[in-house]
Amino acid sequence: MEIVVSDSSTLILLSKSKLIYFIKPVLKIYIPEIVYTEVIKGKEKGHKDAYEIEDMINHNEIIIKNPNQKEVIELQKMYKIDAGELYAIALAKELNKKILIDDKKGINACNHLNIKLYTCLSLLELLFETKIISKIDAQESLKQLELHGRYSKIKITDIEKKIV
Amino acid sequence: MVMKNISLRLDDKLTSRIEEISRLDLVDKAQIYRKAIEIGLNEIAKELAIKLYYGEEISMSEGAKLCDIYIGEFMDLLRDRGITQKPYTQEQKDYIYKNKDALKPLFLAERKKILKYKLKNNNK
Repeated sequence: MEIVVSDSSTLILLSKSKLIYFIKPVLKIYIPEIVYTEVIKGKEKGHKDAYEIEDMINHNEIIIKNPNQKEVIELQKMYKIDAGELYAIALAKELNKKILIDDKKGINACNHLNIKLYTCLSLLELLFETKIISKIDAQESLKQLELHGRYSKIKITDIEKKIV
Repeated sequence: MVMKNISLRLDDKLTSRIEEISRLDLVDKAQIYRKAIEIGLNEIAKELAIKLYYGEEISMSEGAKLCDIYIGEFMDLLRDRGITQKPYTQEQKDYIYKNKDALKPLFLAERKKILKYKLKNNNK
């Protein structure tokens, strides 16, 4: 099983689109504590995805791990990005693992640091290509990603064309 | 909760409305002022967060923090307003797709496992 790190919004989107169930047997997701706090806030208003993620944490399918503080401070000096994304990138860098991230500033930082990444859409594409996910499930996930992920129509159409 | 005193200058129209609401709802004026500020502040924060998100100055997490709401709620807010992300730049696109196949062998191995499992169960 391969370890990957995730930031908050991508983890929430993976849950909302149900993609999390397809990657679960293959990937073990690591998140920093700050990401956990951001995601679990959803429980206050009964968001299903927050409960699903908490359940996965309780079953050790998602692991909470903080990056080295020195790494975080270093990255803070270099990039003006949100704490959740910054901690996730620092953890991926420290563990030398891939990251699941959709935020553009985060993507730019990963590019600069040469950290391999997946967005929800590129992950969906790979899941479909490798036939882990069926066409119907892929289309349903894409529908949810379009609804919640606020991806541009160009990005959605691009993936739509590939899921045939 | 610690409360701080602030002083505000408000026009007659606004104060009259607050007095009227206070009289009708039997609630003291200070409570109405506080509620009005809270509701107004939430709206201001939402408008600002949407504007900054659309301008690519903040992420979804930052937008949610600014509004003091869950990230999922911020996603819903963007959906309700019809706000979508701007397309990736060519550099971002290239970087995302450069690494797309990094997990492919792992996923293909999982696919094999699924097929093997299905075959075993079909033969039973």
